[in-house]
Amino acid sequence: MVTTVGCSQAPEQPSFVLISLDTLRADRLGAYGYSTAVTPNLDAFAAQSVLFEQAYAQANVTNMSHASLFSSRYASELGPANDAFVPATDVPLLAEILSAYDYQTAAAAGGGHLFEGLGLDRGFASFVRPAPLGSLYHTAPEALSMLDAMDDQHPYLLFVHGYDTHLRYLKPSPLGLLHTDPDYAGPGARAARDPTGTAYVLDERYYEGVGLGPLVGLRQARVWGQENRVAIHERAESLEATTHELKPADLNYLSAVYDGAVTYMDAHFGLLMAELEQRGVLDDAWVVVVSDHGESLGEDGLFCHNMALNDATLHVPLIIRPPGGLAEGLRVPGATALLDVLPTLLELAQIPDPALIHGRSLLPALQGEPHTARRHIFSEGQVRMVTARSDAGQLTLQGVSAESPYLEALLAVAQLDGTAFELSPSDDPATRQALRAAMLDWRQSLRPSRQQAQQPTRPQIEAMRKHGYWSTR
Amino acid sequence: MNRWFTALSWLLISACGSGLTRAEHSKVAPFLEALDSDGDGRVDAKEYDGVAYKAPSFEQADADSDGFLGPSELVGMLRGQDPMTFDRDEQQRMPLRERRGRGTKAPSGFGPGQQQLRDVFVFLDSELETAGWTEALPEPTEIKAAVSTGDLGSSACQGLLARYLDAYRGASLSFPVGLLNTAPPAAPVPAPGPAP
Repeated sequence: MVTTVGCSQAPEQPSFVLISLDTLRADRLGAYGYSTAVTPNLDAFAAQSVLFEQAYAQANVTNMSHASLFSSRYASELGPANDAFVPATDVPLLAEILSAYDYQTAAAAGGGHLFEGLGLDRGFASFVRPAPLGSLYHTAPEALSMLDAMDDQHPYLLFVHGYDTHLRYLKPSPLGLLHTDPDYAGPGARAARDPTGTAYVLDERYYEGVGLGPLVGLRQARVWGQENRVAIHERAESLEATTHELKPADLNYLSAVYDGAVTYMDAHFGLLMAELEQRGVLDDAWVVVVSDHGESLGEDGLFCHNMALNDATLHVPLIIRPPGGLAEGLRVPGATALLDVLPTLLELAQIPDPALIHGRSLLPALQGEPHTARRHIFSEGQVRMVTARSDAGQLTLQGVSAESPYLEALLAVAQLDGTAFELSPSDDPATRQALRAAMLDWRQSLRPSRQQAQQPTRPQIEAMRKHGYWSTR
Repeated sequence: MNRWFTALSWLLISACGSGLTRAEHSKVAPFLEALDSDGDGRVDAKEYDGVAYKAPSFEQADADSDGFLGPSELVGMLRGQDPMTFDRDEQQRMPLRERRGRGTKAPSGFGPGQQQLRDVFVFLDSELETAGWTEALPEPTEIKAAVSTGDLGSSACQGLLARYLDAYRGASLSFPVGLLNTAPPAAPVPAPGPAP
């Protein structure tokens, strides 16, 4: 394998373009083997890059996952896992580190959890959020304007983020319905057009227009247990929600509309790449494409992403393109974590790692050397879930977050009968035991910030509401 | 092969004078190929209408009015259209209730063997508080008594766990699967007596 990657000489500090494609499943891209994908631009990008086949996010929601991406720490070390997560300020983030080394930093984010003042903007000299839940359509032009305003004397970090494949799946373009059956006219069409439609799909039932705070609260509190699912269905029925049973054709339609959103994203990604190419950025900068989490598309009766920790929600693309690209794309098998992005960029920039990070540089893999896969991958959920995975299996605990003082106790109880709190236990007792032990080791490796938990201020909360991502406390 | 040749020829021709860079053309051309369901190298009104959603009408998109869409027209459409604006009121992000910290009291009076069980009870207790459960729950002294055996299968523990299960069901919460579904310990099998 011949690459253009090399560190034998002392290079100038390289520039970075970090592109976060929110809610993008790796397995829905052509580059990751999805045969029906129409993602020519990402596929072409991957063909010039190093593609990590088994990259996993460390959280299933935007704020926590980006916090891990930017810090190489687990989100639970940076603050309580919830919707109003704000990372502790005593943990340095990527942009803060790079700016301390004279990098120019700028971010064009899609809003939502990536909101100025909520912590993840730390270190960016410029941070814009042009639209609520904006896509690359909104953010790429802003990013290019920021890029054009940078000087030539210093390296830069340009962060571009878009919610192209986030709810609502159906995007208003010819590409949104590219993959759907043109004759389809079922309830999935309404769910796909509803800004939050698929959030109200559970167990193949769509509660149209429910807008039920209690329903959503229950769903987020404990969606896995069958008793809770029954309670959710009963609650929705009692509120006389319009209920649609979703048949395979309906679920296939929703999945196809998601594919349309992926294609829509790819079109705008392609336009961004064309602009970067025109500016010579692709010759000079490292471009990293990643997603913060995936999306449930009917697996286990779920849609959205914050209720599950599985391949659907955690297996994400991680594609790194060196300046000038590669003559041939390189594919790296073996488990990788988004935690590894920060130390990789820092090694490329010849900047020492901050203390206590959990990631390790992927530079050897970028240079074509054998990649040492992670034995275990750990991820956290917004709704008090933690998971450990290995090649042999996966162990997911519900109802407990990584920072909970009861994690060890619950694991101990799980050992008593073998099933308590476990959502996806392996069939193999030895694997289960190994995963429990790994999870305990992981828990003991966490070094939570000593700061009191950061909370958004009331003005920040009001601003978040205005910009539409959530209604919060 | 023929289809690709036709498409590429048409795309090459349509690129001339469009004002787009070659790179831009190369990035959007595959989408026109995807839209071109009959493979004639062009996207006509019928093919466009079959997939468009809240997009400009075909006539609007067909900037040069030649009856077909080309790369420059697709780029113009993608750039000129606000993709989506969410209705903020419909955003559903419910706050997770604050844990009220009832379970964070420093335990005391329990032996190390019972501490894990006691922690589980406290955890469940805090879960019910989070759910807004208001009925009386077992007092710490009851918990202490129940876990004194250090055995989940003891009748005291099972009775206490059953009360929690009822509370969870009343609060419409999902109890962690398995713990309360643990079958009561089997009755001791009497030692075989002497053969009759």
